[in-house]
Amino acid sequence: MRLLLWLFLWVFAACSHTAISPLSDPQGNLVVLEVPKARPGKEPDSKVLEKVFSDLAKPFETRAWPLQHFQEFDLSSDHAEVLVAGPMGDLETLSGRSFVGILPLVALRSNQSAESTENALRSVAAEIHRQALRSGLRSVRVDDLKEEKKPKA
Amino acid sequence: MKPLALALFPALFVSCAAPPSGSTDPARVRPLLMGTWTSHRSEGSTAIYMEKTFHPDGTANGFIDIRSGTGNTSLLLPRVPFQSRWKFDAEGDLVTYDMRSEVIGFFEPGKSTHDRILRTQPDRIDFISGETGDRFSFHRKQPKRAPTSWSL
Repeated sequence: MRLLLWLFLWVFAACSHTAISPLSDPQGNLVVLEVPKARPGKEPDSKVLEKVFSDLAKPFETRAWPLQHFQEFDLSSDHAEVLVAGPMGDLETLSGRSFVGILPLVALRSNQSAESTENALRSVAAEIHRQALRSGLRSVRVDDLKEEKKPKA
Repeated sequence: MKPLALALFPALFVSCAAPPSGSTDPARVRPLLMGTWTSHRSEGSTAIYMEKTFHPDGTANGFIDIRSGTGNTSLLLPRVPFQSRWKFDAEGDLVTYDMRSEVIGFFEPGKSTHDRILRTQPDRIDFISGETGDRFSFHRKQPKRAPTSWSL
């Protein structure tokens, strides 16, 4: 819940447009990401969590990253920021496998129009999902989780 | 001559006021329908955008974007790709059926929609929904054209 509060403060602090989307797979299904080396019932290692988010952020470390996602973007005058945050908790698949997962919310803030930011967000979210898989993170569809164990945002 | 001219006068204005309309005969609409169309609908603060491509073999595919928001913040749901089938029924309505998506539970199994064609133009088709009675339009997707603004 604290993470969500921080996300909302970041959103409303800006005088730009912010678009937010939950992470999904290429087929459009909402997904959670499994935290590696984490056990249900135990607090995950903070270094592991740090690595998860830093791995997801890798495609956005270069200054020119917006050029990949916005139709038009002037690096000298436009600005854009990506934030990934979300609740974490113990989850269980329909097949009975328990794990610690994160329900990522991807937020993109930019000084461009709502439409431009939203279009770019879809591209950014798709890139984050691909990056998650490249990093070796497991992506699990929310629909494959037991109802009582689904993440509640 | 004068009474005839006066009788024709309002008739001229009536025909000028009526928008140009193509045929709604399915045999003529079918070739027009081929290609990609877009549709925007708003329900409160939620906007739904759809792109749909109709193919001659009676199949169609596209995606749906659902977006909600106000001011300078918007929430997007993941894009929903879909496939469906289409045909014209005996009354000339456009029937959409066998709607499928990999997003689990998005479409109700076995559901179909019947939409009456009100008016056709080369780049626009106006419908009335058989389910809700709402009017909506398809606009032909223009190549390399900047997307129109979302309206909530």
